[in-house]
Amino acid sequence: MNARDLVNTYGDMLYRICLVSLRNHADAEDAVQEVFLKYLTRAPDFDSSGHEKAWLITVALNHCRNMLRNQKIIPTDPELLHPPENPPEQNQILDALMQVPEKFREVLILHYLEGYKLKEIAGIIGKSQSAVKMRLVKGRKLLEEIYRKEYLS
Amino acid sequence: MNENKIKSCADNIKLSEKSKARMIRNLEVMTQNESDSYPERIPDRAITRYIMTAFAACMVIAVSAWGLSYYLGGGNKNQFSPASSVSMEDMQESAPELFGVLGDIQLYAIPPTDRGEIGICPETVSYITLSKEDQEQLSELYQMLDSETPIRDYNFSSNWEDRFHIFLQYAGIYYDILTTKATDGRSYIQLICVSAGDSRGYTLTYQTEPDFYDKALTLLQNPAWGREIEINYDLILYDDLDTLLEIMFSEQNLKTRFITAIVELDTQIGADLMDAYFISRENQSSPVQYFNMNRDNFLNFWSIFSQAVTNAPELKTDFITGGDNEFMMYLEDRSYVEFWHDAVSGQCDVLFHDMAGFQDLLCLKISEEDYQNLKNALVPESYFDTEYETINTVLYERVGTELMNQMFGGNAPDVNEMIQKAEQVFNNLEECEYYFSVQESGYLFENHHEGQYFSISPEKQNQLAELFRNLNYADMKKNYQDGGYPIIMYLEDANQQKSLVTILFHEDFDRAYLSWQPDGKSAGDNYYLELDSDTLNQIAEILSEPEKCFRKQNNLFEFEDAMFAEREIPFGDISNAEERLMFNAYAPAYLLPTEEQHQLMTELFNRWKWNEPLTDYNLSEIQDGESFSIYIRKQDGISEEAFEIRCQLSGYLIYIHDGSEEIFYEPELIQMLNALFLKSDSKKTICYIPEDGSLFDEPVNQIILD
Repeated sequence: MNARDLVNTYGDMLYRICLVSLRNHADAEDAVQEVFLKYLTRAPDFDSSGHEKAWLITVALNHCRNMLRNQKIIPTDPELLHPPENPPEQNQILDALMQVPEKFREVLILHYLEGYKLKEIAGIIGKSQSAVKMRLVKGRKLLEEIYRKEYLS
Repeated sequence: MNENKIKSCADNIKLSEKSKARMIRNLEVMTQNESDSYPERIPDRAITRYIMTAFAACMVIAVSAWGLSYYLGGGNKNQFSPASSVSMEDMQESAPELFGVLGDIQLYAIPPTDRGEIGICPETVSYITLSKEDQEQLSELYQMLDSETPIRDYNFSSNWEDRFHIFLQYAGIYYDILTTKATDGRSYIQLICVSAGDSRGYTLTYQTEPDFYDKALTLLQNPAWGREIEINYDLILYDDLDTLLEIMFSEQNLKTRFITAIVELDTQIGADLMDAYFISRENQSSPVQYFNMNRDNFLNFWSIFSQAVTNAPELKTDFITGGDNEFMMYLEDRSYVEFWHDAVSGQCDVLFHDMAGFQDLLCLKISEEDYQNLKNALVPESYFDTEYETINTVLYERVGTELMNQMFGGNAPDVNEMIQKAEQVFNNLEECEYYFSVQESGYLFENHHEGQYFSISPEKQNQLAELFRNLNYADMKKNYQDGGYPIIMYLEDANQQKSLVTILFHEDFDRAYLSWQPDGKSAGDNYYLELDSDTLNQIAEILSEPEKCFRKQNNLFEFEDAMFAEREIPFGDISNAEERLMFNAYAPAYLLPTEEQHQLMTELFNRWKWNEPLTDYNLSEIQDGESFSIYIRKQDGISEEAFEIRCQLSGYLIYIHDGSEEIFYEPELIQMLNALFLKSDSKKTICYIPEDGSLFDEPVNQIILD
């Protein structure tokens, strides 16, 4: 797949993942670009489009994780991250999701935003299904706590 | 929270067409040419973009203020003219000159501590200004750089430990000097040119002596230079410069507002002694006491208070070190003040809350002496107990409906009345119609319509009724506030009175409550009764054999007439559905160990000769087949940790903690555990809960690894 096809096929999906992870438009765009660059320079052979997509997500998550650990990412003002088409409640949920700690947020993103099953998430993030389940439950709880604290109290 | 809303909250996040086009172009260039000449990419573009916003704002202030007597004239922001772009060559040429004039032009800095805070508190960042002497020292230091020979090809962005920024404008160009301590032990300087209105810029990187960073930082922070770092303002990262300027030049900062209010209140105080109420407690886990003070004592307290806070330095709330919130003061305007004391560090904070009472607004640091004086000045005249009517009479109407509603609920009747009512209902459970639901989330009052619903057979229902009949409702208490995993029982008694009964497992599974919500309203009170493990096991046993399982789509919470005629959506055998995970996880398939099992397992773990953990394995193969899990909560009085020991009957033991795992092959141990807990039934899950948290003297992983 060439750069144009890559960006058009997976750009939005990866950008969504990276933006929710990094909370910064510019960093997210950089992350997506880095992932695509890795794809174009050193991607393995893929069995299927599903395999290809999972590889891209894995690389994106790893890259975001590295950025969060090695750089001090400066989150953008949350309001500027809101898609204008979103109703306010969805933006509040999005804000809350972005505040969930990284390891739980990853699982929430994959499960809810990208629709992956526990088993598939386990493969992507390299953890057992049991660990994914625990993270999903805990992540959902944290999300709800943050949402309640920020918007319902 | 509705899962569909989570799913769709990010649907509209998309790359703009412009970004896509730029990305495609960049990728094409990058893959065609492996050199570092990426036309639209700079090493740390995101930071630069941020800096552009923040720095441009700073410069607006600087330019405006210098032109009009520095901060005082308000400045005409229209005088601000955006900097023009420079080339990399221009920048390299002007760098030595730039470092030479650092002592003469206005600088702004973000110290590293504040930079670090951004991650925690993204909406604010504090800048400091520097004295002329400090700027001159900085200039000297930076002139030591070999500024004509920047380094290249250094992957700077991912190799730094700490850094600070200095912003300045020189010759119409905005610059950020980013000084960094890198993980390789060296210090690096990046001179970043920021063009206003354009996120692009150029960066020159210089390598310096290892101690450069520390020297420069010391200069910024060393009070021996005769200057205290002054927090000028909290800069909110608005793109809108007008709004930013308004905020920055506003004299009405929070501290001013509060101190003014306190002084004003000071002049009015004494008009009514009931203007303020106090809450105190021994420590964070002690029950609170409510009291007021007589006129003289209150005036004395207020005098100490107003003196203590008037000149107290302001703290960012992130810097509050914790400790105990030993007393609070409620004021009639519905604001309230918390007094915090950390016995270890000696730090004392006063935390002001706004009118609504739920958001921290201002934190002031007071001396320990002032704190103790304030504490000693608390001389209660009369205590209020926490009975609703008393609180209602004394506090509810005066302090504010909203706050009191939050604290004490609505118009709930008293506990005794509820106990009588509860006994009536629970003594006649056979006459009730009820359903159960299991929630995956820990919140009782939300989303339980998303839970799994089930009913039990008439025989089981009678057993449950008998069990409930024998509980001691006189021990009921009010307003259980903690989270947990509830099984909810929807009741309609013989008089068509509907109520909610909740068997609430604490999220650590170390205790459970039976909670009763007589009116079924979220704002109302609930009454709870702590259940012993024996009772809990009995309830678990009864509920573990649902007669029928279904989902309900409507919200039962409203208690509408249709409550018991909900549309049922059978989902068949729950053991085969994904929902089983949740059902098994929080439904009473958990078993509590007996005391004997508890002891035997402890002994077994302590004596077991462990194999080395596996390093080469196929997890999906290991996870095949039947398994059971042992959940352990460990607490040391300060923190709590949860562990899962997952036992595959094929012989693998997976130790899971904090999302990571280690795998051992211990077939004999698993056989013994299986025999110990499960006997003939290997499908049940064990919830192994040390009641006193002292099951293991050492962390579980130590035991396992030993």
